[in-house]
Amino acid sequence: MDLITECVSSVGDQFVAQTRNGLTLGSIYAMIALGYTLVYGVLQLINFAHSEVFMVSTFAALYALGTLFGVTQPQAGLALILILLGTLVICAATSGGVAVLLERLAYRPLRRRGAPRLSYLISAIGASLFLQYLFVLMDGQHYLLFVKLPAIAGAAPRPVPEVMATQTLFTAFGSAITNKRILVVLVAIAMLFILDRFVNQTHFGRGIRAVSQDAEAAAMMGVDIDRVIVVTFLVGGVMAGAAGLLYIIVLGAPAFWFIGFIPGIKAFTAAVLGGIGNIRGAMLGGLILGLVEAYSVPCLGTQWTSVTAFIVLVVVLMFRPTGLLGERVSR
Amino acid sequence: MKRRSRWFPITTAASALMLLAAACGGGGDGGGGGGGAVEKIPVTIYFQGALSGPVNYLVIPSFQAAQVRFDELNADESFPAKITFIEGDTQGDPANAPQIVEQAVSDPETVAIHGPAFSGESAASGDTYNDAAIPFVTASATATSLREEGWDYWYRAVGNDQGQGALVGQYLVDVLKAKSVFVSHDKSEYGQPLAETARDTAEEGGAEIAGLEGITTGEEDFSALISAFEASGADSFYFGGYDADFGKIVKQARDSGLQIPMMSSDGSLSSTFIDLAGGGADNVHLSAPTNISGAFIDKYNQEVGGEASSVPVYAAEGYDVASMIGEGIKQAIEEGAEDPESIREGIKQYMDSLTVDSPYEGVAKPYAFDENHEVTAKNPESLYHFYEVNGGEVKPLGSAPEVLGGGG
Repeated sequence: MDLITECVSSVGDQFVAQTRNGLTLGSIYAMIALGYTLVYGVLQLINFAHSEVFMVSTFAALYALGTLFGVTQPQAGLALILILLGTLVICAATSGGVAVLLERLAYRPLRRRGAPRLSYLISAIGASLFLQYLFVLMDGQHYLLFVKLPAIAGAAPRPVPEVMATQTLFTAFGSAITNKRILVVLVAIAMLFILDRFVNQTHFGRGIRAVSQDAEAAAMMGVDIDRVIVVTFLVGGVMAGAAGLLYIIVLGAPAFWFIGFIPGIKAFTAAVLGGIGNIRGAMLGGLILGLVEAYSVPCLGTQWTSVTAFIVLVVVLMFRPTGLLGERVSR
Repeated sequence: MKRRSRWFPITTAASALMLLAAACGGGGDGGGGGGGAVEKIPVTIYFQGALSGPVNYLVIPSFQAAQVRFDELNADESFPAKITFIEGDTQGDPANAPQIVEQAVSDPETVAIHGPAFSGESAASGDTYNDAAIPFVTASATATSLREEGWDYWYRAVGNDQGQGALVGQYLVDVLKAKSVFVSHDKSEYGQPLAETARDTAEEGGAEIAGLEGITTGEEDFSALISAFEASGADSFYFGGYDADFGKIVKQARDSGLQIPMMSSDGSLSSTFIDLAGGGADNVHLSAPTNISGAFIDKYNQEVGGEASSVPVYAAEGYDVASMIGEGIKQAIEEGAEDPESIREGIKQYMDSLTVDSPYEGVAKPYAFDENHEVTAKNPESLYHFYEVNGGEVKPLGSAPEVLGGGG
């Protein structure tokens, strides 16, 4: 009984702080999860290289902040806003570009030849490893076919200059709410809102929904499937790019070749939790996963966060095999 | 086969010389002048460790220093062997060890191994080296469990984690005046026992333990851990684990406004830690069984030049291990050894002959080995050093007896 009382009281002590932590991380999971869910919707393919699309964004941020804008100390005011917007555009464009390239090089050739589903999976894992180790080797000491790779990455994590100073905006029940966390949640909500409108109200969005419901019928109705698929990868990549920048800003995370692995796995879990293929499901799944992980800490300790998250996933799938909101892109 | 053809004429030449020397008897030795132009016997020494990969910066200083030492020995005309120093790069991963071990063991000229650098790869390699009767001397593998293996040919030239953990506990209580410590670790073979020993000693020293948490290594977001730690009201924090994790924990803790002293050990003593923690690294304390300051480091910076590490962990120890292997080779050959097998035995005999009263005086410390082949000293606490980060730089505080003093 003592244990339970202790547990309840420590949950009480940390409730606000852990809600804050869960929402921040959950927003980022949600943004990455969208990439998995969108691609699954149109191709029924789990794009395991999506975590590397996210990883590339951290290097784009390192380039933009460190080299292009030459940030050496935290900025403020208009300069901060402009630099953040500029970096966001660069990160989103880089990740979007990598996602489109992946589709072109790793998936389209298979699709053209009508390859079995297993081949896509292997191609995805291969692309993921390729990208990871390409960045390890880009340390200025390795060659690819006699061409020296640029020294932009390497095996060790590379710190990204801090562009925004941490400020505590207000304190809620003893927990500091910082400007960075507010920024993450606001940007995430804005991006998710725009995406939702894009899929539900635009011409391209209608194409995506049509292809995911019935690709053959959509093709017969004159939908250009190749173009829809490219747009889907692009949109997923842009979201992952934005998530990568937010990750760096809020956590002070470095640019690192392996940084995509854990968020990638968690975001994939979030997508399945919400219902893979379902856009609002991915958003909900991300937030729930982030909160579940955070709330498990006071009672069970940090070493149990992943265990708790996956137990919740298994339990949800036992009762709702297609995830919380079901497996559909439209609605 | 190539090696064999190079090997035979030289052994033959060496044996011929020996015969000649023997034939000359006592009379010939008088004007020899220390054997100025000895025929150098070719020997090979392998370095086993992470020369590339994500943690190579923890190993490269030791390799560089060993290279400096072997170059010196090769340039010394009175040194009776020509050392070929071969890089065995495992990237620190035990899974990569067997191929390096196989290469080293099957090389007929191998007389010793400098390494393995990490504990995991040591556990994966030791049996083979020991069966092949090749001395292997590590300058950085600190897991306490290695001494239980009972390897006759293994030597450890640095203090182990158990000794370090106990001193960490004392430091937390005596120097940082901790009343309530939050202990964390990365669940690794290195970090967990270290953190648990530190916890036990701090508790014995009178500090309250506010929490013991394992983290997931490679994670980016430690907010959950930090919130738990904040809620516990602890006045100090210890982490057993590596720099990549500790750097992020420190940065995020400082971002949430925690200015309390934070501490870790040799796994976090690196420039990567300083880079990741940024301005938050101040008021971080580190313990390590390596001395990264002192006269040798000036020499290291000079010899290695632009490639020198700014936090040269285990450089002095790597140099000393190379010196001891060199000394063993020299004594073996002077006593008549000429084939690799007898040189290996000679190195082992030399290492075994070092005692606390007649140690090898290295640049880092005097070396003597106990019955478990662990380095030992008159005061074993002197094997460990403390550091504090100040103004973004690692500042040495001195060895454990100096820092903890009589009050400890």
